[in-house]
Amino acid sequence: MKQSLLYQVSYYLAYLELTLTIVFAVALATSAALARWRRARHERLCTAGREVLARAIAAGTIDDAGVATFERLPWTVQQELVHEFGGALTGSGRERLSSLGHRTGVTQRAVSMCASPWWWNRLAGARVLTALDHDAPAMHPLLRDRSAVVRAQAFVWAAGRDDQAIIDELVSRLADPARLCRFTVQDSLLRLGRPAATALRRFLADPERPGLADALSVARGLGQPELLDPTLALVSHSQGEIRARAAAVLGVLGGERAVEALTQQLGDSTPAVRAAAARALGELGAWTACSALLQLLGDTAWPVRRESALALRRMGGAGTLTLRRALGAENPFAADMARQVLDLPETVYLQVTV
Amino acid sequence: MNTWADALMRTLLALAGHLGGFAAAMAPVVARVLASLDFAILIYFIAINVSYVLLVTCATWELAMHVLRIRGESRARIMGSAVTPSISILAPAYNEEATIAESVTALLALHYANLELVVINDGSPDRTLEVLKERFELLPIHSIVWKRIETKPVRGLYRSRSHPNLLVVDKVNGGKADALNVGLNLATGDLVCVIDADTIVDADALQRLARPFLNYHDILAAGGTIRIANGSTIATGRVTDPRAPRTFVAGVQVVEYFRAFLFGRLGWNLVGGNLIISGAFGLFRRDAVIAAGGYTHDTVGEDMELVLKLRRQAYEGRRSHRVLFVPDAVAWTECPESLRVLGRQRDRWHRGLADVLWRHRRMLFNPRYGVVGMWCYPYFVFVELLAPVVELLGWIGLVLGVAAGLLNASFAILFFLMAYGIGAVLSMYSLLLEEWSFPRYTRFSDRVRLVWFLILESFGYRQLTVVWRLRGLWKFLRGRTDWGRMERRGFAKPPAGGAPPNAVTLAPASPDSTRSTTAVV
Repeated sequence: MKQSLLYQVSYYLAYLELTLTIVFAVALATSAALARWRRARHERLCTAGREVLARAIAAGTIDDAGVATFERLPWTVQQELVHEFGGALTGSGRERLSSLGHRTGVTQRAVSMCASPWWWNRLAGARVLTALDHDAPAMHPLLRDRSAVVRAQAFVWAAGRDDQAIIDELVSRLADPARLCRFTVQDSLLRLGRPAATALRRFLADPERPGLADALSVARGLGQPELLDPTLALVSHSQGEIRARAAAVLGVLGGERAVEALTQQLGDSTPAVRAAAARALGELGAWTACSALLQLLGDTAWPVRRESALALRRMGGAGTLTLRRALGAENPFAADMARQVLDLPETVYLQVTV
Repeated sequence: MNTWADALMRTLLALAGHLGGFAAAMAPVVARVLASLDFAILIYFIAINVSYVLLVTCATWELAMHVLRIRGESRARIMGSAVTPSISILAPAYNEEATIAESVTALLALHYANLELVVINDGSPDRTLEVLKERFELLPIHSIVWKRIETKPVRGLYRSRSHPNLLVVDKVNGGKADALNVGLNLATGDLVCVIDADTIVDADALQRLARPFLNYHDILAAGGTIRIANGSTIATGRVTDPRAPRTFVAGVQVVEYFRAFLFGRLGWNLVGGNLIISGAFGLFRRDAVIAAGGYTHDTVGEDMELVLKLRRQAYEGRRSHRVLFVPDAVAWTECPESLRVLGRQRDRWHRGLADVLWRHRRMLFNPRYGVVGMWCYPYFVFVELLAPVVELLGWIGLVLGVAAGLLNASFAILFFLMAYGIGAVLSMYSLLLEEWSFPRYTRFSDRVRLVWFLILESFGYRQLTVVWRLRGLWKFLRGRTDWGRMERRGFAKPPAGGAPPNAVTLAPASPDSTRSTTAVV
């Protein structure tokens, strides 16, 4: 009975496996043959499309024959060419590419894709419009799309828009639940540069908002003086990570108030904050903080001792003198760290990072 | 001589007579045992195949979604950002004087903006360090190192004058895990990429591998696809013309790697059960690895051990976490070309697997460890670890069954075809997945060759792998922890006219091959 069952099961499974193997082998052979044909065709079509685009961008106009040639290309080839050229062009070249996209119907198709119920279509449409740098209203709803990957693409597109409403939307998205979106927003804000500072100042003014840590990373990258006041308010934030990032921003912004706040932060209860403050003071060359940093050479946390010593070394004469004094310190950890940092060759200590 | 032969024959006949009588008496019991064994093996077989079908389904879905997500993406823009995480590549090297300069040059040329390369010379007795000093103008430096992981002593630290992002560490020999731990202590990147010194990494592979770290806040590690470079053309440290290997032993490993990566690891992505990041190419969050205590020294499966340790600690700390496989991030490696060396490698892999699973045995069927404890870990125990034992029992049952007349020969053949047919189906499907997603082989002949290897695999090779894995299990039970010698064939000159100048081809070694290195790290 059992053997009969075994036999039956084995028979049908072996039969199924054989059928599947043959089906897959045929599919593989067909795919491989088709791929070869498609590769050759794709290459030929891409070459034709590239010629049209290159001529049009160089001349500034496109003739009807060129439009017709480009329109005849498959959508996948059109997309690929737009991505290829869009990634390499800026300024007038990009504007010409954008107008070319409009004349050949690529823009309209991408816009209609942005309204698709399928996320991959919306994503593809958004990517084409980003490559064309096209200011389409169809992109605005995508800034709040339900798919994170589509939202992120819309944020990339937004980096090219100097529109206060879009910048405000971007800044508010620093609190996006998806890591990818937060990363893209940070990148886009940094690319926008100064125009993003005002919206960012408003964002930083509310200490309860989620996304403050990422906002401070952007603030550090922008380094705009108008960000000083909200950053100073954050040095007493309840979260250690926020206080540490605020210290890093102050290390870029500088000024008397920043140095004063940083010196106070050297006494923070969180080692990461003390280390960040020491580092920032070193970057500012704030020699007035030498005595406070000397105290930190004997800190219980290794990163704090290291950052304090490196900060002193960066401060030049006053800092080096302080380090030499520390060689005779009672605390063996302070003396050891001072010795290690003083031993660093001149060219090396600036490269040492955490 | 004849007298001895006659005596031996008489003894054997007498023994056979006794055994024959014994066998006749025991026949009903043996029949019952064999029938039960066969039935148990069939149940096991069906359970395995159900797992495979689920994994294949997951892998197909995952791959389709991945392809849709990355189509038309602009990585260059994102990777040129000021907020991308920095990466430190950790490359342990032992006796690599012949290739180290080219490998390091290729790694320094990877397309990633914020990159640091830490080469760890693990006490090589050859000229590895001297070659590095000469080629990259190394200067001795002092550094302030926070020794968060205990390691063997560091003899010297060097930074390159021509490439400031190159740091070379010279240390006392302590094995690969120790070398990587030294690298972890010294690295400054947010992420650490662990590779073997002879791994050939695709130029854009780091950009692709870093993608999950931008997508998810809770990711601990990500691994890329390892492909086999034997038979391919390599120029200036990059694979420029991927070809399927010509030899059976290398070719069949290509099929195995496809199966392992494209359906195994990709399938686990969807259910969150990835346990292996290849030691040849993986990216980790540095702070997480250091918090976990780095690599474990006394195991030959240190790469899997690290991932399992990271996941276990995350579960115990009730932290959400991910370990992902990225199919389009590709690194190439040289695989063994001889059965002897391949046998040693597989023996070591299986010993490593057994050791790691034994260390973390508390996770087995433990709901505290989520999908890993309830599904992934048991899968590794019952499917990956014990498969050779079950396969051996199956063979014994089949042979005894046929010998005792309980099974007929046609059934035995049918069972053999069924048991090995699933491997062929999965391999064929993996080839198909590769063809539909990120194909590298452009020639039809390469695919034909792989299909041929895939068919031949079931006749002799699969049985050999069972023997090697059983040997590994046996050695594990006896407490052996040595690595064995991994002999690499090295680079040979490319065929005339078949490759650009300065190109080399990983090819079968010949007695006069230009290089032959032995990597023990």
